[in-house]
Amino acid sequence: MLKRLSSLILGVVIAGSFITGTINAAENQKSFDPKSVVFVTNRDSSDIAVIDMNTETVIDRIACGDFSNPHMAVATNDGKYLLATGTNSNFVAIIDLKTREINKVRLGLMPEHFDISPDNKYAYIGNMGNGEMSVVDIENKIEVNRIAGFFEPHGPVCLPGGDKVYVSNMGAHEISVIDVKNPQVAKRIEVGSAFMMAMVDMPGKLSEIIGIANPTLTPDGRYAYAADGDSNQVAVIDTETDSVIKTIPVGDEPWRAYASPDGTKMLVPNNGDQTVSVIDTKKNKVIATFPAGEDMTGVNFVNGGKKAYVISRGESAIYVIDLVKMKEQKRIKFNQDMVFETASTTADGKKVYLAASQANSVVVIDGNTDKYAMIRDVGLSPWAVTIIGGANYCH
Amino acid sequence: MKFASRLLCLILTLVFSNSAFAEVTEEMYRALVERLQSVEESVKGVNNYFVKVDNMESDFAGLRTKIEGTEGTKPVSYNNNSSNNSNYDKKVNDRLKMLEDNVFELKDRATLMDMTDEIRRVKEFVCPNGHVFPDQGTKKKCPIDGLKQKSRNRYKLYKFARRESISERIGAAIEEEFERRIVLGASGTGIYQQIVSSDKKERGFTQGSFDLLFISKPLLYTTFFIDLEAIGGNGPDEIIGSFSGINDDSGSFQDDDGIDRLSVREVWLQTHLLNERLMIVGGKIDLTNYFDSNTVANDETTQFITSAFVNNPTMEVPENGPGIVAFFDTRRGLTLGLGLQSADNSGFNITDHIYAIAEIGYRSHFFFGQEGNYRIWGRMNGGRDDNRGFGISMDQNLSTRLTLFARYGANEENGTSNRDKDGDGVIDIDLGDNDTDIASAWSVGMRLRSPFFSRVNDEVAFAFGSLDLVGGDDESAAEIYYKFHINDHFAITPNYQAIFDTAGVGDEDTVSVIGIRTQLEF
Repeated sequence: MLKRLSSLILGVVIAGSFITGTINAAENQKSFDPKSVVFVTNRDSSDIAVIDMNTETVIDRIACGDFSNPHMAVATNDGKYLLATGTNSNFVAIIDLKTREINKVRLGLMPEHFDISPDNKYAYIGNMGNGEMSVVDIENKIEVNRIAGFFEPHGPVCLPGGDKVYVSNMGAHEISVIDVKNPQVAKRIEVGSAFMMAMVDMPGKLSEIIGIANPTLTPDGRYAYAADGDSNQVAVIDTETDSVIKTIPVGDEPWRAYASPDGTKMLVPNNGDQTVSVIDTKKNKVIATFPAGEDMTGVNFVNGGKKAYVISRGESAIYVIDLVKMKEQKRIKFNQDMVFETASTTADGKKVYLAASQANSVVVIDGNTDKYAMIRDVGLSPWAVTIIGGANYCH
Repeated sequence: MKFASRLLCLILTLVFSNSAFAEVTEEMYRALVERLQSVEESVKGVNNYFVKVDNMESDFAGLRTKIEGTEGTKPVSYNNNSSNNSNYDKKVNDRLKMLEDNVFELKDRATLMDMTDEIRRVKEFVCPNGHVFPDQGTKKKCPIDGLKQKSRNRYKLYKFARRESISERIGAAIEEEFERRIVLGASGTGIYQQIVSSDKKERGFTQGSFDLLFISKPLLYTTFFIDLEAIGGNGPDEIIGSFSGINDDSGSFQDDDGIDRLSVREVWLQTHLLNERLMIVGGKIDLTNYFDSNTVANDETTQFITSAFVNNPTMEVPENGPGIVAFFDTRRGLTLGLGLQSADNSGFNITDHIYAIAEIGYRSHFFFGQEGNYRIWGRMNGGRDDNRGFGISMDQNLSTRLTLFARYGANEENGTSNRDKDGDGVIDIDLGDNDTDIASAWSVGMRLRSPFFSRVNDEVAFAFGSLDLVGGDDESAAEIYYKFHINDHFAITPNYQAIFDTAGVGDEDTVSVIGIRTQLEF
């Protein structure tokens, strides 16, 4: 009798677990509006967390393939596809956000950062390992071109008009320009004045080149700002003529420029001397320099660009700068295990979502009050955050 | 107290035995070599497997060509339009695609490729507008705008994929790890101080100190640290009797010979437990590194040089000696610390006369979101008849540039204190007297970072404080300094100090000192 009862209970438990599992699995696959969520790549769990911006909860995890180590994710503006580079497995995953069908397009070695053309048709992806750029047809899920001649292509950016792509070279001091119609390197533009480059003790730095992380366009795409880490300068490139029209000295080891939403200012974190330079884009000169923190990985603007959050990974802190009064407001210090990576500002400029890789969490910061909330257990080692229509970047 | 002493001995024994077990024995080395050989065998197996994967890849390519047919030719088995065959065709293609993907992934994982960077000097031709070309244009003109080209040597990073065996990789990693395990650091401080007003003779003093630091990581989360310090010169404290201390770097009154001294300042082993929340340090330690800390006023080589602004005078911490410190970080802003140290730093008897201190710290953002650190400590000095005292230390940011600090401390009072008993201007330390010297002390001040637009990493700071002696006298001190940050390794700091009513000599004289300090770190 006891045996029968035990078997019955066991049967009920197993059946219950199966039904619950099925229901959970179905719930896990529930659909969402791509424009109301945040996508976060989890490098160590090789998936992408989907966070609902209304409830601030993780509503889905999209697997990208075992050990693929997804680095960056960007969704097409129409919300149809989400692309994620599998850096460890040398592919880009093209995820149909409606059907959940995943197509992997094989690329060169170590694809990391990319940009999608304004018409949502092509993705320009930098293969850091072999110095090539892959051009991927998103709709047909194929690599249509692979362009050689780059030195650690770290940050590709498509012009709003869609006719050119600017690619920064982390392993050299130059920007490469790709002609979209005839996909090859059309021009190479040197960054860093001859005088400053001569001052750099390059023979002594033969173990490392700190070149250009990203070209940053003004909102109208008329100018590109490229910060060069070794020469401590920012070059202003006229995108019509592809000429350097001004070279601006900033602090030591500038990381990259971040454009304010109205395009009037560029903020450049200098990781060498731990300062932030503010460049006036009309005068093309540094109008303020603020002390900041160690290993800065990004800048996010909130409230229409009235305030900037400078993210210091090394100090687990955020430096808040008032860009109206042009003064620092405060430093928001977090616990040491909060190792910050990248952040994204929502389209309305009111909230910032910040990935904390070591804590497997995402921090949501209110742009008005600077108060923050934690979304825990988003996945292992969250890295890049992306929001459709938001201000996104990666490092 | 006996229990605490035994506990101290036990923990010290455990901590140091930890380092003894970290050494690699001959047997362990042999076992490691054997394991490496077995890994090499596995690598050979993986390589064979890799060859097979390569063959499979070409087989799949051939198969795909067969199925899809060559140009103008349809494969024999798929030459009708029936829906069944079409479905079958799709299934085969999907299956092939999946297998191809798997083969590629296997290939990526099986390939033991190592990315190698090489920076090369490249000669290029650059136009005034920044355009770069590998070759010189016709008549040395830029092909884009016709401006004159210049040749320049540039450095570029090239990447290569190099096949490397696992044993090579492990060997390199072990070597790299070994190199990382011992880190050498050094810092040097040079100080010139000139007494500008005093009833004593106005004269200048030079003093220098040099610290050689060895840091080693014998185990994960474990650090071994040695600080060797050489000091030359006693500074103005040699003739000015004050409890505030004009030069905290000189180590005044350690010796009275005025000649150079070399000492092992600190030797300790530090380990982290409980997910790095609990830190334990044991060895010859300096308790002021862990207790009564302050963001603005806690380092005589980079901040205020007056002793009263480096640590609370009421702490009366014994000279560096054998001890143990445990700190627990709740990761919610709250920290709890406990330190035990022998009051006798000779090492002959480390269990009697224990100096014990406990601290609770809290990091807050209460003040308009600005960071503030608040600490409260209590101590018992076994070297002075278990004399008890407590203190607080706080620093609060008012903005990211401006930080305020404050300290207060008070001691139990039982009797008289040490004084300049013979009137020679020097405080007479009576080791037989077990009472404390200072009844209470307080100090306040501020630090402003980047005071000027062009001097982002400079700082200017001011402090004022007062201390009440047990006998009823009081003494005040003030200091202002400006630190010129030349670069990350070098700083120059001119300062001005004043001691009012120097209590040590019992007069109402004001001593003013100007000085300049150079600090070198690498």
